[in-house]
Amino acid sequence: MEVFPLRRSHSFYSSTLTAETGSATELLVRYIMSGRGRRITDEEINELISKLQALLPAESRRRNAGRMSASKLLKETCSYIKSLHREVDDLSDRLAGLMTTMDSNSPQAEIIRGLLRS
Amino acid sequence: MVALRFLRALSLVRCSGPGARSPSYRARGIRRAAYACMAASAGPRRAWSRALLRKIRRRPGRGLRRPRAVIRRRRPVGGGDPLEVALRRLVPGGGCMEYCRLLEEAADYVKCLAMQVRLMQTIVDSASHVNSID
Repeated sequence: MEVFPLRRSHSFYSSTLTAETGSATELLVRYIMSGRGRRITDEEINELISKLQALLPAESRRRNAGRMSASKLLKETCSYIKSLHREVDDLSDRLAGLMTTMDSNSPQAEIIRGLLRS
Repeated sequence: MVALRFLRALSLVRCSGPGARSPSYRARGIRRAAYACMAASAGPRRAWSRALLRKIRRRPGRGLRRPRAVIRRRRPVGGGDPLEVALRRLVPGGGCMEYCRLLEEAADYVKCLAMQVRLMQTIVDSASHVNSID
């Protein structure tokens, strides 16, 4: 069985585990320290990491070929979510601008009405 | 499903606003509709969709409401890592989740957000395309 590179230090209030930053072990340590009893395996964590990595856009995946470290993955996910929020705001502005120029008899409105009817 | 819901919401935004409404007011309404449709289509299984709908439906300035008896974990998880804290802040309802749950919810949230962005882009593209034909 693989020996995880963990170090344990004890204090009066808590027992802490530390691991090398950015590893899958780090995620496992965080999970243990979150205090939940459900047993989670290393494979499940790897699966979560690869699932998140698969959702990131293609250019980000190309930049980080192969497995990303956990901290890199978190950083990329955060920046991707922020960029998606910005895109939603931008597209809402554009849609609002387009809708002011649309009147109710235009073909666009007819298309939308047709879609809503079906 | 989410497309139909969003188009219906868009038509409501149009009907409710007469010509005097500013575009920024309408844009805010569209943005709120987009998030609401996204969360409603995701369903109540996901914590992020529940948190998002709660935030949207909570009207500001109504005063204190009587809290309902809901068993929900309220204790915020103290994070040491600034990246984890940032992710918790970005994902709706992420403040009180376990770490692995946070990763799962973030994955689902990213997927639905990307789909919503693609949908809005398609609508904008087709509307501007029809505009340019005239």
